[in-house]
Amino acid sequence: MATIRFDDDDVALQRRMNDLVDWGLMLAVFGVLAVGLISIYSATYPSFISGVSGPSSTFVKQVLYASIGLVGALVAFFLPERWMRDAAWPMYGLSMALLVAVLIPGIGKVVNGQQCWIDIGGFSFQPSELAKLTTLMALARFASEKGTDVLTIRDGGVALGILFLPMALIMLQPDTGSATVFMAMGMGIFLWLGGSLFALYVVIAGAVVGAAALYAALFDGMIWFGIAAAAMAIGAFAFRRNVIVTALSVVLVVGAGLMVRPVFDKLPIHQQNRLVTLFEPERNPRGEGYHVIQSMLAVGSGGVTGKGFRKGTQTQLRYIPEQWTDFIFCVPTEEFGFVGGVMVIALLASIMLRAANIAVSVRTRFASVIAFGFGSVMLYHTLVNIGMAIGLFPVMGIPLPFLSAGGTALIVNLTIVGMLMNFYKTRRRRAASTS
Amino acid sequence: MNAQQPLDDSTGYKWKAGILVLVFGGLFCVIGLRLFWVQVIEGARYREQAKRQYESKVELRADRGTIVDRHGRSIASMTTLTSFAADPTILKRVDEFVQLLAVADGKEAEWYRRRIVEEKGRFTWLARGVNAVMYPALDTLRDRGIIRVREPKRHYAYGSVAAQLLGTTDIDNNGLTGLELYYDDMLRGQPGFVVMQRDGRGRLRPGINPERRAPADGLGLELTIDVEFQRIAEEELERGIRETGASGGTVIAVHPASGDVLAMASWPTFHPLRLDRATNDAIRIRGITDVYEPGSTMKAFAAAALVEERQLASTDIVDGRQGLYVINGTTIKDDHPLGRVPFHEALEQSSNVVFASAIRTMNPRVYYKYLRDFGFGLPTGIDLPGEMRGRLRRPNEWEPSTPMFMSFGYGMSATALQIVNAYAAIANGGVLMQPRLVQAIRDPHGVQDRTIAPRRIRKVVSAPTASSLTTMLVGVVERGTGKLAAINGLRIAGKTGTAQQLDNGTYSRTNYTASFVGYYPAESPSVAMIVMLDRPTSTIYGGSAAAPIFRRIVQKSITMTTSDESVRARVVASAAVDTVLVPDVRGLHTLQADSILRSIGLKSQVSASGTVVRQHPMPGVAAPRGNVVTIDAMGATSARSEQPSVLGFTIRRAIAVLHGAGYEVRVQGSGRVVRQEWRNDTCLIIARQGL
Repeated sequence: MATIRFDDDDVALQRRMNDLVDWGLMLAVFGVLAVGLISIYSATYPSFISGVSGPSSTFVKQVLYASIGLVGALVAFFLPERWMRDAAWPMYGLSMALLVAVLIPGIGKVVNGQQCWIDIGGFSFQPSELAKLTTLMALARFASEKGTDVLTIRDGGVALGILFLPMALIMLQPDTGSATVFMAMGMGIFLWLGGSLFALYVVIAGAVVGAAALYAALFDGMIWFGIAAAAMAIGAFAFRRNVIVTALSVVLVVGAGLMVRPVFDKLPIHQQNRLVTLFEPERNPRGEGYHVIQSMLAVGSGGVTGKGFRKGTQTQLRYIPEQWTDFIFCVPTEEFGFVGGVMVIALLASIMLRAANIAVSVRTRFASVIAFGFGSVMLYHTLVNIGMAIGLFPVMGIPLPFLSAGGTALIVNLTIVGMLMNFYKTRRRRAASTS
Repeated sequence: MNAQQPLDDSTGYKWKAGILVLVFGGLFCVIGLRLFWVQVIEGARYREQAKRQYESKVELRADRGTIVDRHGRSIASMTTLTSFAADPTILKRVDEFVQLLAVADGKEAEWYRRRIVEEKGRFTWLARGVNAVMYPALDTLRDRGIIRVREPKRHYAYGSVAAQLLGTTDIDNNGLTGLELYYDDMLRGQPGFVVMQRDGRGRLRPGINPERRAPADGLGLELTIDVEFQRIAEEELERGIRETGASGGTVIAVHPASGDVLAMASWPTFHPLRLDRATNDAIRIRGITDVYEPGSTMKAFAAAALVEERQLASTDIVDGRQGLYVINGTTIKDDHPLGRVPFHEALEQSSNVVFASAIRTMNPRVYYKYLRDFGFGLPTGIDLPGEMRGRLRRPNEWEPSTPMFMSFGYGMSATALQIVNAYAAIANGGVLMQPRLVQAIRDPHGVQDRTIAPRRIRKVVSAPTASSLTTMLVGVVERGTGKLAAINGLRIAGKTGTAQQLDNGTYSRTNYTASFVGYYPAESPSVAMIVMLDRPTSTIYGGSAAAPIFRRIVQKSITMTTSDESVRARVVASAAVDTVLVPDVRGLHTLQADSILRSIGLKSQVSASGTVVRQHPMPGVAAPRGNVVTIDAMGATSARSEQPSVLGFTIRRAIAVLHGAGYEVRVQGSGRVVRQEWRNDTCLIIARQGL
């Protein structure tokens, strides 16, 4: 732990403080936390009909979670990194046990057909959120062991195993949305640890071509599929890798795209509807498309400067059920407009940038992997959640970090931020000790 | 500490980080651009769409205007009815609530309790349309589980009186028929609105600064109708229809000097609150929608034309040709043949021959002009929807025989209102007025806003002609076919009409229109009135079917239509001696006898049911209405009674009566009994066919 030496010069003290504290990250987190609390306050303010006034219990709870999270962050800020490394495996084991426990009837609570909560004295705990932290720590620990190279088949397999165990358990709940977060985490870490950018490109190209193929299958727009496939192929060749590897990748991607149609036809009808709704929510305004249409109405009607705090009609009239969880983004955008929306995006983006910066600055693999993994997870959450609210992505149960109501996620995220601040604080010392 | 792998700078992650930041910066730009597109470019459209979703314009209903009669008596007004429902999940004061409901709505308290207890959901209807103002305890009972739905509803103070005339409205306050339709724009008022917000679950709540416009209640109508007169007319029309077996009928009373319609009754009728059970037949305002060939009531207008054109005077001698007039292959007959008589007597006896031969000498165009001027073939312009104009062909379409038939009311058609209005013109010194139903408009608070002046249409005949006609028409009632309308002490001018109805192009031998139209007092007429019966069966003549109804209405309503005390007193006295002839009900079943007696206003007292053998008073005796006729059935007494007369009975009925009275019967011949001879206990009845 660093001892702060007090200089005579205030400027020097300030410089020292700036060196120890990542003010940008802190401000961004506090900013996004404030917007989130304001949004929850507004979205859950008792409606006219219930006849009660004052802040809702959801808001009060969220404030409580934020406080707990800040305590967690403070602890993480002062905890030596070594202890964290040592705790990685036990914590991973504990969270896997909790993921198993939540599947046991009687312990896990079923909400909307998903068994992903454990009730503890009036508070709900979500093991999958904790698993995001522990898996990240476990991967970081594994990747930072001496002699480990995740790019080898053996170590890569172990890393995948660490990743797939919580994913499989979460899929059993079933909570596909949360499970996909681990994919994003895995991809980010893979890239960070020297994985080929080309390989990542192929995966992303596969997703884009697959989406185009789906669009083609639903609306007979084969031309779009062609354009997407061609663009992706040209991009692949731009990497100037081995021609055979490139050609094989392109064939793989296009082939996967062509498989979309037959697979789609085999899907159960409600899943087909879900996919149709993704592209055309108006087709099903009362069912699958309801959330998307209402969310678009809320966001769109906000305009440039919004309708004002607690004056958003769509929010106050409760058009979006449980808006304070996954559709929280509609609140700032409706009540504070485009300005509010851009602010939220900018704050979240700067958190990610700071995380990336820390990942680059630190001198230990463990810290670096955690920072970059956290950034990847944040990026995925943000893109998917906001994309969902403005009709770019299908509706998935993925919350917006720091804004959505929900205790486990908030506490976990704040704790990770505390860890990042810790890594930032100690970045130079580590560098000094290793070089 | 050193167990950890050092982070290796050689993998070029910084370069990678730069690429990644660029790629993800690009992704954020996509998100940002999309947000810009949705919020800034398309924002207005989404705002509009959202507004359509959450804004709900709730109509504030305007009260429909009140309708009052000529004396300001409220006939149709608005009340608010309350329907009660409950949300059983939050209802607390169940006991109190069900007790109060039982008092107000009339079912047992347990019934309501059961409905509340057995309801699984959150809503159950308990009572519909309660006049909650009458039950303040129920109206003000506070419980979140009580759901009250208030709806304004027309209240009809006189029930079904003037139902067709007032007309009907639908649940959305639109006039559908009658005055409600004709004056809908005035009565409906202007609904207001308040803009409410609808939440995601469809519930409404007021916005922060709700846009609001107060409703403007409808204007009121002050009718020319005298609701008491109307009630009497309807009662007597119904009674007359029952007695004559007619299928329908109408009575219209008009004030000649102003054209004010005092009463306009139609039968069959309906109750305005039971519109769902009303037939189209009952909703129709027959006086204006049904056209018919008027028959002899048209003779007055032929007479008016002849007198006005100085072709005939009331005392001129005319030739009745003994009831048969054949000209150019057309045969015209009279029921009561006349010889050479004064013109007024030809009208009194309603001679078709005289009128046909007299009108033949008149220029058809001139005759047509008079009929047109009296308003035939044209709508009267009364303020009601659906008025028919009748049929009056132009002279160039006439055949030589047409004016002759028209002179006694065939070959043309008219509504009852056209006829009575034309008679009112004669009563009004020859000036035709436009009939009307509304004399003033009232503001929503019931204060008279503006009056409507009577509208004179034209002078049809001169005052002397009109007064000459009046004298002749008084003769019809005093000496001629209209005698049954006569009232001692009141001079009534009138004319009967009996017309065969056209049935598939030929004149029916069974379907008649019987009418009587007249006005009184003849000296200064205050009421012109027509009674028209459609297809009467027991008697088909205007003089016997319609005239008595006219008389009874006059008798009962005279206190409201005449201010002359002496006339009132005499008419009221005449009403007291309103008598009927007791019919012969012997040989009929007691049930049948009872219904016959009741149909003419007598009561029956039955000692035992079966075939009637004796009655008291005896047939043919004049008895005041409402008197009791005692009828005895066979087997009620074993002793032989006086020898009953069975003359004119069918053999079957005669045998029933005689056996019932305890006599043996021997029969000669068949048909109806023409003679009966007594030998001790045996009666020989001699019958003959075709009597």
